[in-house]
Amino acid sequence: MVEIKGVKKYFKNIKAVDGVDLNIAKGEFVALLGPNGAGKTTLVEMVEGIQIPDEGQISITRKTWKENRTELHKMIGISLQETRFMDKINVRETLCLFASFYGKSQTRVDEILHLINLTEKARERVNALSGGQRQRLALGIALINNPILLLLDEPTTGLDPNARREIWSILNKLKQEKTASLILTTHYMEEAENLCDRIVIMDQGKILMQGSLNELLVSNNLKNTLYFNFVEKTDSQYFSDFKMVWKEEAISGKIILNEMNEDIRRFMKIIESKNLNIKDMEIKSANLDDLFILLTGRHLTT
Amino acid sequence: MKQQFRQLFFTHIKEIIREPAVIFWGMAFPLLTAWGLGMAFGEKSEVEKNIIVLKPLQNSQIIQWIEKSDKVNDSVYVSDGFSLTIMDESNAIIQLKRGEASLMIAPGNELTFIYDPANSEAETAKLQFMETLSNGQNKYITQKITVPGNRYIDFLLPGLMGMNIMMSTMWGISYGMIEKRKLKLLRRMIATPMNRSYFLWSLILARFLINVAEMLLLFIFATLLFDFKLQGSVLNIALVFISSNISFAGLAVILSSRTSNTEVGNGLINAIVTPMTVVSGVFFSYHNFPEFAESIIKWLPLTMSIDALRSVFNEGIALSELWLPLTLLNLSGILFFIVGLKIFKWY
Ligand SMILES: Nc1ncnc2c1ncn2[C@@H]1O[C@H](COP(=O)(O)OP(=O)(O)O)[C@@H](O)[C@H]1O
Ligand SMILES: [Mg+2]
Repeated sequence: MVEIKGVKKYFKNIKAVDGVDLNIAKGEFVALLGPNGAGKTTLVEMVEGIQIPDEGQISITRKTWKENRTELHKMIGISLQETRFMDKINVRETLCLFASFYGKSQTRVDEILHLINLTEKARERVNALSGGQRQRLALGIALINNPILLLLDEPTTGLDPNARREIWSILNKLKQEKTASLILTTHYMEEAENLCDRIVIMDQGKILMQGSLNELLVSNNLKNTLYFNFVEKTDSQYFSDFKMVWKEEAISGKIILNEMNEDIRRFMKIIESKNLNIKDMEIKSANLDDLFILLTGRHLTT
Repeated sequence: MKQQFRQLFFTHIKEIIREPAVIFWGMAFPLLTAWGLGMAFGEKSEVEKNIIVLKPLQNSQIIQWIEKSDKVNDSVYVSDGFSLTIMDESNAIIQLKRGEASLMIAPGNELTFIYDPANSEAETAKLQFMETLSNGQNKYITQKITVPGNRYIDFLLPGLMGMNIMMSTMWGISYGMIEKRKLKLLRRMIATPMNRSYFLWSLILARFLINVAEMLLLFIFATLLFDFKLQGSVLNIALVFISSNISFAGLAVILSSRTSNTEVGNGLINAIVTPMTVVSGVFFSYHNFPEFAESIIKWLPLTMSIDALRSVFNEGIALSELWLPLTLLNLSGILFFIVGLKIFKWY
């Protein structure tokens, strides 16, 4: 459905996207997961035809932007990172305006209002909407033309957990219909885990790894993470052999347990030999943030 | 396709009329300006002109004048449309500064007038007052000009209309585009099959219709309050109006074709709009400027627009005499529009 081959995009000396290959099947939901500046927006906007790659090719159902611009516009639905709509225009009017670009009728607008659960807010002006409602409106606009490819750039960034879940439930409904493919960018691992069949981890313009959540964790031998908290400041040098990050330098943090027994034994040995006082410690199953730490030594979100 | 244009057009209209400031600046402000200036410079009701006579009063001609006049009190005398007030110099200075009098008569036996020669009102008052001193030997009758289109309000209204078209078009179109670019809405819109030229044309058309409404309102108001009349043909005024709109719309498109920074946009528009408002003869004739300046000023879009509006409203000029300004207004508008569209940045 979507084929991305050897795509690069540089801004002066910044390698925003630095050689990406990615194929997305029909009906597949894919998350581009990565920290700020990973190149997610740049990549997605090249797929949307808004930016042009310096190198490489992108095609959607074998059509390219150069040759089939109008046709592709009709096939895709997008929501950009931080678009604002017209403050003085109400929800319904905004949807009607975008519907008219695709030659869609009022009935479609009503369907969308229902789908994004804004029927009651249809006559409210956009500036009276909450952040979550605005994002739902943006999603509604992306869906108005029944796209076969949906591209959402950080659809839930900055939303509270409830508002985030509402967006997820709309997208999960869509997933069951199996009519559209989705490319979604996010730096929330829960979002990627919750919605997507495949997770593509990006950092510094490159794809680090991809696969389902399970595949990603298993292939890196990642099952558990140790969270610990010392009573007083220790020395971070003691732990320099571990794959870990500090939450508070030399006091609290987590260790990625690649070899659980071996790693815990080593950890306990240090505590004993340096006579450190543990306040509390806990072992949890590993998540994508742990994987990201394992791969880069940094958190996904800061 | 039609649906698309209609939706874009009504969206622009709603954006305009839902902004309360638009109603004020576009509709109420020109009306208030016309009303205020029309009153200030309109016909004055019969009020006596004030002349100050400085103490001590010695001149025999003035003493004679006072003897045959009506006494209001010990220092104020009224006759023949003049009011003479006798006072000392320090009070007189205050009155002069406050603009309550502009003409003084110096103490002494000789009749000496003190006034600013650049003040034509004082000059006129002096001459008229001299007539009343000459014992009616040179009595004459004055008659008001009754030629239509010759009052200050007749001069002012087309100026206000021209200014209003410029302000409304330039601010409206530029702001509408820069703001949408800034919100990344333009970027979002062109990521759909939307027809880009429809977007611009619907914005220009919406602004044009708002301008028509504002101009009609101002015209009706002026007709009712000041008996303002259109001497020329409706067709001619429509042509001048449309050409002015095209000219300013083109300017607006080119000024807002690149920037997404509202401050930069405001600065650019101000840099064009403010000088034209000052020099193009909205409130007073630009013939007061030195000749070399005038030769430039008369080719500015606002000047051409206002001159054409005035000549149709007040002189009823024929279309054959309007072709040059109309052609220039349209040509410049279309040229700016094409160049603006060429360099237009959607995101
Ligand atoms: N128009 C641009 N000009 C210069 N640098 C840019 C531009 N767009 C993105 N970048 C840079 O490219 C990198 C990737 O940005 P982006 O694709 O927005 O990342 P993400 O969406 O993952 O946060 C960042 O370092 C960003 O600063
Ligand atoms: Mg981004």
